[in-house]
Amino acid sequence: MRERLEAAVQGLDADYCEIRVENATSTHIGYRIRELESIGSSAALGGNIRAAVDGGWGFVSFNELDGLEEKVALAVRQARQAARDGTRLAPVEPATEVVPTEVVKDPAEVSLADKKALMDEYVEAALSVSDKIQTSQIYYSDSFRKVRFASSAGSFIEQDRMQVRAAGSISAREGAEIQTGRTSRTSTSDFGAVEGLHEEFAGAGQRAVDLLKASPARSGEFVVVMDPTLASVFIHEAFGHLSEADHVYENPPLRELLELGKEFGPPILNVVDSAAEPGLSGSFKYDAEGVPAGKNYLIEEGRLVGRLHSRETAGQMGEALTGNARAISYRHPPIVRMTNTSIEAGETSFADMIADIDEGIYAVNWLGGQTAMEMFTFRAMEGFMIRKGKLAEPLRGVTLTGNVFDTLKAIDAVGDDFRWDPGGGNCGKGGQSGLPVGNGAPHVRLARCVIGGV
Amino acid sequence: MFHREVLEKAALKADAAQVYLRSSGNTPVRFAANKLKTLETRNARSLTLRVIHAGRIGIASTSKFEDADWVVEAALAAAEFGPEARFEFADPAVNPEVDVFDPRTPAHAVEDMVEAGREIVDLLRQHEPDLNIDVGLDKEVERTAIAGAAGEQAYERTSYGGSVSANLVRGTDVLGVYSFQVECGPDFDLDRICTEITEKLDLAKESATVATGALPVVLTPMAFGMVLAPALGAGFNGKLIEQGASPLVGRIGEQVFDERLAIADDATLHRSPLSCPFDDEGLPTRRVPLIEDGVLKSFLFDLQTAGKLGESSTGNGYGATPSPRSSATVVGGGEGSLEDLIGDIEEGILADYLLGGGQANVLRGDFGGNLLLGFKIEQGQIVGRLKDTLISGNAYELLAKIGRIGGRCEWVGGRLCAPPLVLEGVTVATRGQGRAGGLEG
Repeated sequence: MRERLEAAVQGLDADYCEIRVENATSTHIGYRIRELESIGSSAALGGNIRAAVDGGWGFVSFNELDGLEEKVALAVRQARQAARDGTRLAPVEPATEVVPTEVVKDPAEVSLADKKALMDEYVEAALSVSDKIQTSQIYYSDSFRKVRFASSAGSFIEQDRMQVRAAGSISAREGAEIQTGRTSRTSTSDFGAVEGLHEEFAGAGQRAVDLLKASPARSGEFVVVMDPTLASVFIHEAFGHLSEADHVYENPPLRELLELGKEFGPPILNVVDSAAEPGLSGSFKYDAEGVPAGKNYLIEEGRLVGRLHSRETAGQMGEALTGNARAISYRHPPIVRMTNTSIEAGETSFADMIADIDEGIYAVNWLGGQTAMEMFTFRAMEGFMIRKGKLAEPLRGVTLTGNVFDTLKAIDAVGDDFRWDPGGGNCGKGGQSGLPVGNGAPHVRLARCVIGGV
Repeated sequence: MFHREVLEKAALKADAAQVYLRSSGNTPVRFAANKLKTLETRNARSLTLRVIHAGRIGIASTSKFEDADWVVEAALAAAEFGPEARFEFADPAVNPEVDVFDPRTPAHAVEDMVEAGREIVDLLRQHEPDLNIDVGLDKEVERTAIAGAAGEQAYERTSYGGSVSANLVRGTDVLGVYSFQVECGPDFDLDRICTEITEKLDLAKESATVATGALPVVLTPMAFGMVLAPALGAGFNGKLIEQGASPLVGRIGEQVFDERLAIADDATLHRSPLSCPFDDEGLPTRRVPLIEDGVLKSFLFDLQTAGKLGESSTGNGYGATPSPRSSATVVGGGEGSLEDLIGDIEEGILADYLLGGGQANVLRGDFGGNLLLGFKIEQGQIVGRLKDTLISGNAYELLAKIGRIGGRCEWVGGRLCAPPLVLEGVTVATRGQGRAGGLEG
């Protein structure tokens, strides 16, 4: 296979060419309420070729590996047709490496019967909390993927990736009121990480039931404290996407707006994206263009110091490579994506953070989040009023919304209690959703944020 | 043929077997930052084997067409624990005639797509030279086949569509305007898309403000899809009916909505990119009235969900692992243009594009989203663009007493055909009023 792939991308009339072949298997088990709704396996074999000629790109994806030469020729032809003004890819050292995945306990060695038995226990744990639980979706999935990559830059990289995940979304109902609690756990190395989660699943069910009694959040502007999970989703959604260079590099006013060195937040704010953290959902050794993963500061002491690049965006902007080209599968070309994104720990304890708040909102965990350029909106899973420095009554329907520039500047305290979210995240962009990412943060306080209550 | 081999091997081992086969070829053309960027050719195929063995369902999928035994064993292994089957695989029947294959689509030259993209960029930049425009055009030919003991049926479907995203950055203000169209044939209406976008850009030149409170909101068809469709999609889903989780459960025949409201699910419309002669379980499709004169008429079922409830499938079993899903949602029109609807309103909002519209508690019917593109209406006129404004409410409450339903229905990306309509008393939240005492949700 290696020779075949290496041969396919050499000696072409193109500025650059790469080929990728992926072999994957996966298993899933899904429940609605107590009923097992789906269980099954799937296998995939496919690949793609990407070529660049004068700044234009051709991309061919396929399931049949025959006739690679014609496919390569088609990709080159398409690239030539799209040619514009010169290919400028930041140079990368050729790498030849087989990167094995380091597996502690391999899901492939656990029988389907045992996986199902474990999930049956979680379903029971979540649903036996209360008879108010109306509906739930609880699922297990594991996947193993081997990707072989060869490029005309001289790289051949083989990387394995395992992922195992157990997650649940549990809704309780009383009259017309319906509330949801969620939990998830993801590991890239160990089936053991999804074992023993009975309390987490029971907790998600209990949260849904407790939220039924919570008061609806009031609409308007408040002091808001985000818990580490919500803060980590906030930084991913609201800021992280803006730091992806692919929609910046050819947009002069955006380039100006996002000029490195500009002040984006207070000096206590540090934001970093790093695929080099071991064992997180967004970790890897080489990105989809064969660029080694790095740790990249995006905001340092409140100033914009970096952004996320593919080889092309780095080359076009004359900035250093970051290794952020990723694709969800062989069906899609790599685009600039986040890996594990976090707000670094600050120095304020949670108690101090809320102590001087006369009236505010503590927003915890999240149910959803979306962003479009500088606007964002998130739904917290649960919330509490903060009154006179103390957590008060529980709230439901807490939705945060705003403009990222204003909101980052509104950060006035960063907690000392950093953690990576053990649930792992899935990110969507450009028609590619479900990309595994990691999110981390401590508690973060916003001096003001618009809350929309329902 | 690999799928025949899989079916034959499965028939020997399982009580019943069905193969679902899908293949597609796409040629996306992408413009980024006003210039052609990428030409693509994407070919994909997948085979799904569904078995019922000892009364249980097992499913396995593959795109690796080389190991029939693996697929059969994987499906049987799943059937050991799978859900109890409450149906039998459907035999091919008489399907409706649905015209979803346009031979002009596969014949359409990529060069013409490139040309269309250039024209869009040029037209829009003539209007506003500072625009940063991304265009995606795509043509697709897909084939779906279902094979079982009683035979095989297949259809081919074409689609041709495009999306345009135009951005204008002024200081820290980012204005984005989007438009998309999908049809079976290469009938992409360049002028319509460009006019739509330039009109919105012009309206957004002025900015306006609104106070936190309750206001009438005019929804464009696009906003209908973002604000109301997620809640309705959940409410009519047979699975949520079966669990009793939909607020609509047990209310068939009741006047649940405003008597002017009519909504149907329809996979039989000619030349609609989601139409098909049979669903992914092989059942003939049909038009399914969901709401007529505000009265709840039906839910959407696949075979398994219908079987559990003693109902019949509505021909809405979609996906390799089938579950009830909508095809095209068609909302009946009333009277008046979008301008007429706006003209009626003393103070209100025109909502076109929302961020996070389906993010609220959709099971309950709630929606809540930030206006990415929304306008203030004063004395029947649009006075400017609103920012940092969140609208929220409950789809069931607001659709029980609709302000007004407009007359001109428009397609939103092949999935929804809806008129503009006015919702009364939508909660509006914006900056600066929280501490003074905002609204109780």
